[in-house]
Amino acid sequence: MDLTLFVQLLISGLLLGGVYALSSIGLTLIFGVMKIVNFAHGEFLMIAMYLSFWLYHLLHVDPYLSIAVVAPALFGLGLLTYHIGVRPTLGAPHLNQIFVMVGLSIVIENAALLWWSADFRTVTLDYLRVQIVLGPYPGFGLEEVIINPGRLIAFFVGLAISVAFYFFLKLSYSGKIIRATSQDRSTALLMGIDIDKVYRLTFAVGLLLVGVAGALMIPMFTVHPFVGFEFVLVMFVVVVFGGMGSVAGAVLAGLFIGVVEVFSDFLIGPDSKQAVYFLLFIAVLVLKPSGLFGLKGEEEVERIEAIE
Amino acid sequence: MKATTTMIMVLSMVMLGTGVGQVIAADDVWRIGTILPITGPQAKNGIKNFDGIKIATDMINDAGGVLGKKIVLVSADASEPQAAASEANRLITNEKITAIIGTQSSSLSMAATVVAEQNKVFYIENEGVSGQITGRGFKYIFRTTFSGDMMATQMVDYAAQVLAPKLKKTAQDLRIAIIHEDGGFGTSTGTALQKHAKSLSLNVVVVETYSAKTADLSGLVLKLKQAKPDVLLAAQYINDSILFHRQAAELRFSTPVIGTTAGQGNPDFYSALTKEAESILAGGIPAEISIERLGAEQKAEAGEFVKRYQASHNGEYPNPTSFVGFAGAWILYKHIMPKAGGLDPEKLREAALGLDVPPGKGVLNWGIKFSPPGAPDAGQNVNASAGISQWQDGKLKLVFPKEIATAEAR
Repeated sequence: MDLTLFVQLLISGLLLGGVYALSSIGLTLIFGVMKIVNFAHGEFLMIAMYLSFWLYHLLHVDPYLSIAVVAPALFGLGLLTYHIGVRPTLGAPHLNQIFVMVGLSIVIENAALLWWSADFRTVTLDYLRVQIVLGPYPGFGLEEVIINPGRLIAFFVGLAISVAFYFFLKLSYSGKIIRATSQDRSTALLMGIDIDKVYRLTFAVGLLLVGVAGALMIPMFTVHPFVGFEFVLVMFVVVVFGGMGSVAGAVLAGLFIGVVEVFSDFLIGPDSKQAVYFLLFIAVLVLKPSGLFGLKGEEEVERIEAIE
Repeated sequence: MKATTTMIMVLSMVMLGTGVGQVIAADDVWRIGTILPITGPQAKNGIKNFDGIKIATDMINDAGGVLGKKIVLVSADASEPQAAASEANRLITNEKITAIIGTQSSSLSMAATVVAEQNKVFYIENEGVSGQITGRGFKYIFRTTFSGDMMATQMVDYAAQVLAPKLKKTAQDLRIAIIHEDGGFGTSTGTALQKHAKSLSLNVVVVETYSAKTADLSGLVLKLKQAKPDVLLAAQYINDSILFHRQAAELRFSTPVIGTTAGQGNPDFYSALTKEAESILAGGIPAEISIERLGAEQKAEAGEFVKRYQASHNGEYPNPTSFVGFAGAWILYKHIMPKAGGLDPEKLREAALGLDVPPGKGVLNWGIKFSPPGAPDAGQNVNASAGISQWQDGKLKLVFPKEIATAEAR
C-alpha cells in the first residue's frame, strides 16, 4: 500500500470515527451515571435527524444552525422521557428498565413510520460539495488526500464537546454531583445529593448531545425511521469499548473503531469489517472487562431500591 | 387473573367480530387477495405497488368487471416473511380466497408462495425478482414481472453492447467491477451478474460484498478505484447507494455505474444526489412505457393507467413499483380470468399456461408467456423484460434494450 492510500484511509477512518464518537457521547453519559441501557438512543438520534431535516426542508434553516433548536428540543424530550418512562422504573429490576427502553424504541420507530413514512430523506448542502484537498507534498511522496468537510465539522464538534464536557464534569458543581452519583450512588444519597435531579439532568443532557449529533449528521446521512438501528449497534460497541461512562474513552474508542473499520474494509473486504471490530471488541472485554478507560467495577450494575 | 381472562375474552370477541364483518355475499363479486408490506421498512414500495393494483381494479370494474362481476380486493399487510406466510394462510383458510396477488419483495414472496402452493391456490408474484421464487418447481406460482436473472443479463448486456463501444473498447477488454449488498436481493443479483458476465467471457476485475446497514463505504470506494474498472455494476438498496455515490464523488471515483431500480433508480436517489446522479444508470423495471410500440388497445389502457395515477398523485408520472403492481393485476383480470371463466385455481393455471402474447400486446411494455411446468424457471413470464434507465436532467429515461427505449443513452 502506498503512502497516499494509507493516509487517505487513515483520514477517512478518523472522520468516520468522529461520527461514531459524537453519536455515542450521550449514550455513555446515561450509561455511566444512571446504569441504564438506553436502548432507544438510536431512535432519539433519528428524531434529531428528522427535526433537523424538517427545519431545513420547511423553513430552510441550515442544519448547523438548527442545532440551536434541535438540541434544546431533545433536552426537553429527555425531561419528558425521564418522567414518563425512566423514573418509575429506577427502583425496579433491570429487566423492567430494558423492556421500557426497548418498548420506547419500538414506539418511536413506528410513530416515525406513521407520521413521516418510510421515505429516505436527505439534506444536500451545496457548500459541503467543496472538497478539502491536502497536498500534493512530493517531498514526502504524498499525492492528494481528500477530506470530507461535513465529516470534518462533525469530528471537531465531537472533540470540542468532549473537551467541554470533561471540564464541566471536573469543575462545575453539577459536574461534581454527576460524578459523585456515578461513582457511588448510595454515598451520594447520604451526602444529601438530590439523585433524582442528577438523573433528570443526566438523561436530558444525554439527549441534548444526541440532538447535536443528529443535526451534524443529517448533511451526510439519509434519515428514515430505521436509521437508529443502523447506528445503535456500533454505538454500544463504542461505549463498552471506551469504558462505560467515560466520555474520553468513547471518543478514543469511536476513532479507533472508525479506523479499524475503514482499513479492514479495504484490506480484508467490506463484508467482514464488522467481524473484525467485533473480534477486537470481544478481545478487549476478555482482557479488560471495564473497557479501555473504565474504572474497575464500573461494569457491575448496582441498583437502588427507590429514589424517593 | 380475572382481568386477564376478561381481556382475552374481549379480544377474541373483537377478532371474531371483525372476521364476521368482512364476509361479503361472495357470489356477486370476484374476491382476490393481496399480500403486500403496507407497514414496516418496505412499506413505501408496498403501498406504491398496491396503488397500481388498485388502479387496475378500478379500471376493470368501471368497464363492467370480469365476466359481468366486479372485483373486490381482500388486502393483507405483511412486513415480515412470517407475517406473509400467516396472512396467506388466513386469506386461504378464513377468507376462502383462491387467487392472490403480491408480494413486492422476494423474501416475503418466498414465504407466502409456499403456503399458496401447498393449498393449491393461484398466486401472482408481481415484483419480487429472486430466481428462487420460480426455481422451486412450483405449479401455482406465476411471476408476471421479469426475474433477477433477466435484469442482471440486461445490465451486463448494456455494458458490453452500449458502453464498450462508447469507450472505444471491445466487450472483452472492458474492465468490469461488481459490488452488491449482502442480503438476499444483492447476493442473488450479484451472482447472476457474475454468471452472465462469465458466459460472455467478459473481464470481471473485482467483486465486493458489503452490508447495506453501513455508515461508511470509503474503503470500498478506494479499493474499487485501485482496480481501475471501466464500468461498475451495483446491486444496492437506496440508503447504501446514496452513501456510496456521495463518497465516490468525494473520492473522485468517476467510473460509470449501472445500478438497479432498488437503489439508483429510486426517485429518492436523485433528490439526494441531484448533480452527481445525472447519467447514472439503473437496471430493472422500465422507467417508462414506450407508447409507440403498443397496440391500440394497450395504448389506451396504458394511457388510462397513467391518467388515473396522475390524478391521485399530484400529477406525478407512475412510480416503477406501481407499474409492476398494475401489470400483475391487469394480466390476471384481462388475460387470465376471462379464459379461466372465474377463479378456480386449476382453470386459472391452465389459462395462464395457454397464454402467448407478444410484447406490446400484453400490458405496458410486456408480453405474456409463462414458462411451462418442469422448466427451470416454471411460472416465469418470459415475455416480460427488464430495462436499463438513465437519469437525464432529473428524469429517469428508458435507454435499453433498443426495442423499448424511449431515449438515447448518454
